[in-house]
Amino acid sequence: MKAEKNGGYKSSLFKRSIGARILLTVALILLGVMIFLQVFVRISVASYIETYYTDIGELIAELAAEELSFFPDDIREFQDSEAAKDLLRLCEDYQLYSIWVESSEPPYETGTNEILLSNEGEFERDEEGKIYTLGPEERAIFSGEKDEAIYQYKSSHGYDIIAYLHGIYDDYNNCIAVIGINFEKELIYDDIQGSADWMAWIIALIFTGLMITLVLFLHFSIFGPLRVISKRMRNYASEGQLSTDKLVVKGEDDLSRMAASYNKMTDEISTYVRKIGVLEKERLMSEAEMNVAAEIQTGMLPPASFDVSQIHIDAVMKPAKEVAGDFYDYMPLPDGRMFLCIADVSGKGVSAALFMAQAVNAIRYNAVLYSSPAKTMYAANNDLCARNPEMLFVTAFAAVYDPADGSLTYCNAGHNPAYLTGSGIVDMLEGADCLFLGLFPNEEYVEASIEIRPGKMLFLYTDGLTEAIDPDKAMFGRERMEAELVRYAGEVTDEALPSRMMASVQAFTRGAEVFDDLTMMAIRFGRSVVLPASTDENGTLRHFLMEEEQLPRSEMKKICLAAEEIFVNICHYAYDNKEPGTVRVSTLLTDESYILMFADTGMPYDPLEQVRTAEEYDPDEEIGGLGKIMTFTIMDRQKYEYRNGFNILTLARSLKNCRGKEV
Amino acid sequence: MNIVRTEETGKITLKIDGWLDVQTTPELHAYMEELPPVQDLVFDFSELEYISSAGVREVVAAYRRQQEAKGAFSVINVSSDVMDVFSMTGINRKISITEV
Repeated sequence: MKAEKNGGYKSSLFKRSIGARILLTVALILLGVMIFLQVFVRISVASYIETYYTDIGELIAELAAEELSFFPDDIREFQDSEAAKDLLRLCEDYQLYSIWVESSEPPYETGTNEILLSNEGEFERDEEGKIYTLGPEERAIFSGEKDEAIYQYKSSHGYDIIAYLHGIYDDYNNCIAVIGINFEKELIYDDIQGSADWMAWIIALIFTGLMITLVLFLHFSIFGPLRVISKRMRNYASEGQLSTDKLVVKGEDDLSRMAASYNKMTDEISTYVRKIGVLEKERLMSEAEMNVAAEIQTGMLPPASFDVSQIHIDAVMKPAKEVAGDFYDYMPLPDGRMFLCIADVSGKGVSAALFMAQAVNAIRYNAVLYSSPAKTMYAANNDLCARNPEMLFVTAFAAVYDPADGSLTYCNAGHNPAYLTGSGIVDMLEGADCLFLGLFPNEEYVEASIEIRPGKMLFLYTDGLTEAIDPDKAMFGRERMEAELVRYAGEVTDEALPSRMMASVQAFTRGAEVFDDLTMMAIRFGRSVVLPASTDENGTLRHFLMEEEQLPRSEMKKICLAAEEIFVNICHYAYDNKEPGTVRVSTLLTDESYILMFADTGMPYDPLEQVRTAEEYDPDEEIGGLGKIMTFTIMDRQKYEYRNGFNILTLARSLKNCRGKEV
Repeated sequence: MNIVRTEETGKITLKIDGWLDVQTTPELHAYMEELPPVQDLVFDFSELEYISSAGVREVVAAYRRQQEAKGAFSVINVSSDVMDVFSMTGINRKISITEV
């Protein structure tokens, strides 16, 4: 394990194959066994050799003693005897260095008391040419102290010789001679060592054979099947192949049980996968249904962007799930006033969405019936209370705007306060706070009224805005929202407030899970006039425009110039001499911009096409064509739409440089 | 809008006041049709409060008429509001237009 951590096993074979690892282990064990055997053999050979000398020596001595039962007077006669020849044969048979016999009574006249029988040894002489004198070991044997002795010396040829001495006794048990058997140590040692080595090799071979058998057994009965199982599992895991063929199960051992379990597992997984497939199909169907539900719900609400006479509406509804419990609504009332509403049903998802549908209708038809926000809320509350088995409730802010006197009447049924912005001020609409709808019948609802000056903006929202949370569970909060309102009020932008606010919220939440529906609606108030499409009405248009008191006259003259150009253009071309139509001119003054909007029901015509710049105009070449150049110089932002049978041209003039100059 | 005509030798000055827009310009147009040829034509805009593209168009028409007749044309005593309109179109680079 440590080796793997250190990257010791570079070869992936060792990482992958258990068999390879076992093989390595077996090889290491074999090496250990060989080393052990060698050491063991050396030690046992050393101890064996001692007994070898003694045993062989004794054996030869006994044989020699039998041969020497008759011991000749002159020892030299012995050399030619049959006994001597037998001893010489022994010498050869046992690979002895030499055999010698020594008598105790030396016939000194011959100068020797020794005979030597040898295949290669040489008779040793002392300096005087005398042959050998009795050594201490021989003396001990002659005197009867010992039966035998063993000692080691170096021969004149430099061989290590082991000498074994044994006495030869007469019938009276007197030692008459000593027989010496000289072994060449090297020769004997090598011989024994050789056979010991040979034995070691045999053992090693047998051991190796056993190990190989073991490895083969492991390979075929364990690792082979394991590899099959692991390969199947790998395929299963990596490619998701649901192999239908089963592993073959034989016997009842652990591996067979494992294979059986694996078969069972794959069966179950296949079943689950099929079940999941069915569930997924059902989920997709229900998702498709929810998408349709979301479409239906969105379809209940008016368009997200709308211009009507003097007000411009931008709204957004973003459900936390597919369908929401939030809604916004607006609707021109039969008397020319405008009904505005935002609401939030308790809970979310399907139940909230169903109750939302009911609430939208209850509020809408009561608004048509009663016109007054308080009466509408009172009636809607009673209607909802009567059909609310699940005890859900709705918070709502409803208002009615009257363009005739610029008044906004409102009623807040337990909803977040509405904000009125403009000229750097952000005010909350208060004084009409009532109970939410749906749970308490016959509850009293009151309303309050405020005068809206052109250029103001009403901002309505649900708590999904202020309670949006970031990944650290911090809330977007009312302060951030108010700061964004103030910032927006001080900017020149074509971007609608709700989409700006939504971007701000999304930047804050950084993709954190959305828990609540988020709905916003912004209503910008302005002025408007409807004129017959005739150049004779240009004076009326000019008077309408010049009534704007908040801008310098010189500024308004420029705007008149642009308005005249567009108005004349519409008068000349929109209705093509058929029955004269009308032009609706709306204006909207914000802190930073003056917005001019023309709507006519004439032929679709985009005046923004083929607009030239002043540089492209040459008075030597043509007289006309200046109008558009001037218009689009004065009104620096333009937008054209053809919508619901209306040509809608919106022009905006940035007031950055003229505010506060002169009045 | 009113037009006051002053004549000197070889020179006619037309003082135009009020608002020169789509409704009043046709009057100036008709007046110019009747105007006899003259060497030096001057528009005095000292009392002119407003000019629209229709009015500018009439100024350009007068300039072209004088060009063709090899005569002179100028606009004088232009208020800053009206001058802004001329500047916007860039015709003050072609036609002699002077501010108050």
